[in-house]
Amino acid sequence: MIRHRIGVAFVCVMIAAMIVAAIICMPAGPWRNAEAEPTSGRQTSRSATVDQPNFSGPDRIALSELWGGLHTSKGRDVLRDGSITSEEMDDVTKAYNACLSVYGLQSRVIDGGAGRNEVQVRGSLTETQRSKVSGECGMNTDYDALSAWYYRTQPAS
Amino acid sequence: MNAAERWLRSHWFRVFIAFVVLVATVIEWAAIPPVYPLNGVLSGASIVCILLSPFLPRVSGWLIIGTVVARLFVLDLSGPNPLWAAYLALAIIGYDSSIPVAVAALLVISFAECVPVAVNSFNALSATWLGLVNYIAMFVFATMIGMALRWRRQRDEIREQAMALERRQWEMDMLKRNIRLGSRIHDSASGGLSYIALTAQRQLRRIGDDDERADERRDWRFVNEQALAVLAEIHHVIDLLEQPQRQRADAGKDSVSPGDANRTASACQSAPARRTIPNVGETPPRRTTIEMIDDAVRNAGTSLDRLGFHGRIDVRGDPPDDCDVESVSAAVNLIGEISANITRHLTPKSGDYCLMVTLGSKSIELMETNPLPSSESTESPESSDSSASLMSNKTGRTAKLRSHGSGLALHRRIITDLGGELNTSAEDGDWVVYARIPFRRDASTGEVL
Repeated sequence: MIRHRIGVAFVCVMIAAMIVAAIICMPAGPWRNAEAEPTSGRQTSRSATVDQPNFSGPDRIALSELWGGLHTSKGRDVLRDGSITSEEMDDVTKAYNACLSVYGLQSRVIDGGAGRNEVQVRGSLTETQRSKVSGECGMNTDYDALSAWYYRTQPAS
Repeated sequence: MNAAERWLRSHWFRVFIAFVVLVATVIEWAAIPPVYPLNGVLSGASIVCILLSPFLPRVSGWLIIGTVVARLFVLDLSGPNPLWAAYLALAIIGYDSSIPVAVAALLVISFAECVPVAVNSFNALSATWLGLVNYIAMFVFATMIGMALRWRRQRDEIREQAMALERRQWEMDMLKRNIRLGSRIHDSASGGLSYIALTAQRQLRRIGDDDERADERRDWRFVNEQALAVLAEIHHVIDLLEQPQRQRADAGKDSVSPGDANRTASACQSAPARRTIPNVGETPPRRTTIEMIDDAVRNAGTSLDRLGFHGRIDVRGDPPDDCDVESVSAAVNLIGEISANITRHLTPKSGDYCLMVTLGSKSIELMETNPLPSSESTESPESSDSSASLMSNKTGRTAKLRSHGSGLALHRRIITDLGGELNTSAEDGDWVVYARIPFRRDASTGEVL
């Protein structure tokens, strides 16, 4: 009997602790407080001139504009050499998906790799909310800017 | 089978469903890892609870429910889907807990999932109440599966208890019947046999050591010994009858059948002490096997000789070391039955009998021949019983007693069960009995080697 009561008390305490921890850590607004880089927790300020490399070639102007539009250090690291490899694009896509997954969304390849769209795997976002989340995550992870440049510069398969 | 294997056999379904849920959760974790650290902690706790669910089902179930509810406040839909663990928790709580507790768990999960829908949060299972009904139906379904399995287990347990109770009742009824039977046997046979033995002993005292009455003294001593031996056997049978069924199943193996080697072995001894032989299924020492056969043959020869019958009994061959005592006992009993049938159906003037016992490497063979009884005897030797005693009258003609009618037939059934055979035939005026009894039974197949 005592053992049973101890077990019940243990379960109650654990459940209470989990719920209290969840409530304490609950962000005030999930939409705007979603971090740009959830895995690292770092938010990089937007700056068009910080550590900008000297791009060369016919795309130097476009690359400079693209650099100025980047929001994350990871995005700038990807673009620093003036080109985006498929591995670098995969990393950016993973960060984008991680941002989407907070809202129950995942991006998927469409048109044989020509682009991606977002599908809802969990949760109950409306179409408007889904577009908003997709836009925020695309901007905050630099996925929109880098993927557009990546798919534009990739030779047609 | 050790304790772990027994536990696994009795809890295989718990382990199976926990494994399925664990695999689904881990795959989802790998595909969509949790983003917020607290979400990772809660998802990890959920996996630990899934692992512990076969061992601590109720505690694990409630902790899983706790993690599911807590994750509703995290506002992070990354990480493994908590619904897998929620279904598992409801099922095991439904199986292991009472109905109110299972319903409480179901209500906790259902109401908790209603909150995000009510506040129109993005992490709600469904954007509409109608959609949430489907999820609640799944929660109810999972709980009902657990409860249904528990009811089935309880039904099986009740059925097993009823069968056990019925068996105990049957055993009690059998015990009462056997006690009545033993009492009847004791009252009807023991008194008469005791009187016979006492009469024989009184006659022996009267005769004294007079050399002129040596034959008469020998006959009375034989009567005394036979009466004491049969009396001891009856007491043993009464003891077996008065034992409960299970004890008799064990103890009965001491004596393969009524009238076993013990009776034969002790028939010619002054004190009818019981001889200890190994249990059925054991292999007696090789010397014991030879002694049992020799004793049976010697006793049969002595009995027949004292009743004036003429003939020969030969034993040849050498038994193997690994003989089943059941087979040896069957052979010993058959020798006693053949001896009894000779005294019952023949007269000393009918002719000589011949019994050949051959101990082979795999089986023991018995071949007995004797002249067919005269035509006035309408009973075949097979339809008689060894318990019917016989005494010569003054003319040397044997006086028949009413027989039981299943003597050799019982032996045939025992020998056939052992994988052997027993055949009887009448050829050229002779009665022939042939039996082959294998020494060993194959333990794996039940076939006799």
